Amino acid sequence: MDIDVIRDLLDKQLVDREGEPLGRVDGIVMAYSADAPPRITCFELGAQTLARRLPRPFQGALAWLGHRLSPRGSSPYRLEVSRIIQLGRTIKIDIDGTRSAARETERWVRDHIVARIPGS
Amino acid sequence: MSTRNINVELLLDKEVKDSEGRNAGRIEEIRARREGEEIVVEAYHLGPAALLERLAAPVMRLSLLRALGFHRHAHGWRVRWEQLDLSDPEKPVLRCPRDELVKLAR
Amino acid sequence: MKKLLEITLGIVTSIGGFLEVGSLATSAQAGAAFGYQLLWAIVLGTVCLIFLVEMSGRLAAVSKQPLAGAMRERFGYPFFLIPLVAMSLLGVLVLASELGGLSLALQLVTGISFPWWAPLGAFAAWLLLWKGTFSVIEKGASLFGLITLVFVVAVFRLHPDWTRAAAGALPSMPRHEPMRYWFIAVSIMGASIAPYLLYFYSAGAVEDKWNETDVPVNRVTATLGMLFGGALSIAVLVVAALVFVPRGIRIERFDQIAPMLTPIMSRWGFFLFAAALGIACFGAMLEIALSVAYLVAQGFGWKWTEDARPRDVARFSLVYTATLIGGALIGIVGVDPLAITLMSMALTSALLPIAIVPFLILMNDPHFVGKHGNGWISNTVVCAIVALAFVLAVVSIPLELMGS
Repeated sequence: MDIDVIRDLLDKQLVDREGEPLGRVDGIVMAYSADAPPRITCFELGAQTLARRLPRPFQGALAWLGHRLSPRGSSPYRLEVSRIIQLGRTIKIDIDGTRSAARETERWVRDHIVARIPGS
Repeated sequence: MSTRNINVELLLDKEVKDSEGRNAGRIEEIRARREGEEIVVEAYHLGPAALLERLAAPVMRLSLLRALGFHRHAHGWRVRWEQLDLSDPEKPVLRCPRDELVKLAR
Repeated sequence: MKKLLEITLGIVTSIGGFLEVGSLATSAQAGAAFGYQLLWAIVLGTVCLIFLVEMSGRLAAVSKQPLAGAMRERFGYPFFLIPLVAMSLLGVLVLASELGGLSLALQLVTGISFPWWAPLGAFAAWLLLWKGTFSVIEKGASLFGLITLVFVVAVFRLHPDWTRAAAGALPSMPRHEPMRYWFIAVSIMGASIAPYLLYFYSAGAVEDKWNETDVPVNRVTATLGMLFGGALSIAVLVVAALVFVPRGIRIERFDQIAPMLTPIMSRWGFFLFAAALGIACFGAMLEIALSVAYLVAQGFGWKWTEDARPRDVARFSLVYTATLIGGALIGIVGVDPLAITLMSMALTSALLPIAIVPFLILMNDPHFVGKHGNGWISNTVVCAIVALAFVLAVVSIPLELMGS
């Protein structure tokens, strides 16, 4: 199966094995060596990855913001492409999203902000 | 030879020089094939034609733009994986002169 | 029956998105200043909106992707940030003007001028979003929104000269005050073609689980819904022309619009106007706050739905909460509501290409819409109207700013 990496993978919606959203493909990691075809190994998610994609003047500010806001600090979260179950409108990954670090920010916002507001 | 990790999204829009130091266009798309659990890169597509193909292919097919001959001015090249040296991902270099590249078919 | 219910999505989108403070204020001002002459701007805006809303529903039905997600996927994250930031800021600004309208309505009913109406109104909207579901909001807004039909009733009571009104549907050069004429025309188009409405409608179509079989229904829904909204705006303009022009009233302040229905329905007219204004603005607030949340959550791939408890869609709920707070803050600072309304509508016109051009490209892309791509008519009509609104906005906004 032919894949256009930028058009078909980058910025696509990622879902876990239940079909629940994990985020979008913010970055793609490729293993490169000079004498073998490069391989796409992981998808990256996170503010740090997103910040690096912007024009330079914005990068510093956004990286700082991401660092301050992200509960796990700066390191991006990686999902291995070998766990892809389905490549289509969304990319389905064979993991349990409820415990995945991809949802850490969502859980943080839920526990520290939303759950403290009555009626949530 | 050691393996290193490169972020593909940062290669986008990077200007590629050929073996003689001439501009060969920007990286706009990466063509790969899925082999079992692996995704193997086959080629890089350079130039405005590759950009248009990625962003605005349907618009370029509009009869009005075709009649104006707009699509003929956009050029693009296909670079096989072994033709591109990414030892410095900030400065991708071709291992050959740009004349050896294959033109992207439209 | 299911199909009938789907049409409510069109009507509710239309009430919340079309007849809101922007359309009310711009149509009333146009009628008072230029009689029927600016009807064409509403007609053009409505035609363009019918096409755009139909397109956003079709995109959602065929690709199961709402507009914001499709935009990021196709154009990449760096580009996506431009419409994201522009539309979010614009959303907060428009929300502030809706709050201005709601505050005026509450002030008219209670007789109390109160700077805290804005945060109170924002809180009420937040409470409904926090506790309600999409279908409650959808059905509630379309049911209560029917009160805005009072403007149509008023038109028939006034027996307008229909041939003269029809002449206004064709664009013509201004006979006096050209700067004001074009600025109001731009504001009317911005008020009609509100981009947030597209995010709302396409997300609604995904929430209601549309698929390819809904494409024909979507066409009917979009057309009927937006015609309904357009007819209401036209009614407001006609009433304003017949009520304000003979009395020589020029609209300089927001509350001058209030007695619009009083000559026709006396005391009842006064309260019906307040009710229609309040409900239309409140509906628009819900819609704008949700649209910003849809835009952000879909763009970043978070879980989003208005049907889950807030704790299950934490970041999505946080975004609409923040949007409402932002709008309320502008409301507390107390900027002139009429000025902020007109300016945010004109700004919408100026920012239209950012939202619409990528959308048009998507609608021609078989990757997203398969064989349900746009025809040349919809491409041409939308391009032409958006280009016209943009050019008029770019010319008239600086002139208006210098003039005031």
